[in-house]
Amino acid sequence: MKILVVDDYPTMRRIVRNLLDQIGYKDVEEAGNGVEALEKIKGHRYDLVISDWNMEPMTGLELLKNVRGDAALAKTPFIMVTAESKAENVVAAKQAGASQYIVKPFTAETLKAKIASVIN
Amino acid sequence: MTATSSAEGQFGLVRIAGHLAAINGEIERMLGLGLVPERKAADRLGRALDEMWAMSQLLAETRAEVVGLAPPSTDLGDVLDAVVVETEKAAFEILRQAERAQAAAGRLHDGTSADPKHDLEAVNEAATAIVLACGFQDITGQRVRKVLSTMRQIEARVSALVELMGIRPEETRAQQAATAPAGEASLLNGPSSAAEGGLGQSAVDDLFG
Repeated sequence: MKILVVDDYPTMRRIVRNLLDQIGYKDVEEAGNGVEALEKIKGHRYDLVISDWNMEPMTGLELLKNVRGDAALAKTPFIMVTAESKAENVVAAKQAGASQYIVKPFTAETLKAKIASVIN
Repeated sequence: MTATSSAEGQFGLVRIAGHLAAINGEIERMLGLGLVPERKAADRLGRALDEMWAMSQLLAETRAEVVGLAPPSTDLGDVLDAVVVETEKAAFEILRQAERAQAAAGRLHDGTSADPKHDLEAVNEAATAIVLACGFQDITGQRVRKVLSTMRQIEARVSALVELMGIRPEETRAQQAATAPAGEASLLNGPSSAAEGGLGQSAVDDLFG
């Protein structure tokens, strides 16, 4: 399964990549913001996108809307992993089509469970 | 706060102080002209002079307060930048050592280790390196406390100035509401505590359905 991890902090990308490796997902690529991620998603097929929200020049929410707005990409599972933990954020992400929502800091068990729920 | 915004803020305060000093000078010049009034207007001019004197005093006091607001010499932006660099450096070192330990432990677990004793030593060394890397918290903690102390001093001075200038709380709230971000920008708040409306994972799951 090919996974794209999107976060502007290299440390967080490395943490998520490490956890994915522990869970058993080895085919992982990274992007540092929404623009970079969208270019990758349009060029390759990913089975799952795990994205931060607060990034520039394109946020995770904008990336999500772009993915859902493109018929060829619309069904890609998309998990938002973010420190934005207010109810309005969760509602906005759900309305935009997020498959799951994980609040930072999170555990390996949470990540594993959310991936399982969107893959199944 | 960045070094640039700190410098701009300081420059802004200096400009405000300069403007107030200029206004004060203008009023004092007007008062000088008023010392040779026509006789018919003597009473009215006298009252005007009293008003102007009061205004002049108020402006002088305001200027003194604004000058007193100038931030301390410590550059808060540089201090916080150093915290960001130090925490990132420590996080990378901890991750690097953890991955080293995971790799060695994996070999030991799978029975693929070419030198089990060496791999066990690698796990132990990595654990020690992680413990040492956590020392960043002491340094960054001291830096952050320094910034907090300075911020509290500035907050107290700004509050004093707001009170001196007679700005009412409702005016401040109206100004804040007028300049608050709208649309999706309003959703970018960063981490929030429970008191600030932040939800835990289980509450998010309930909301997400």
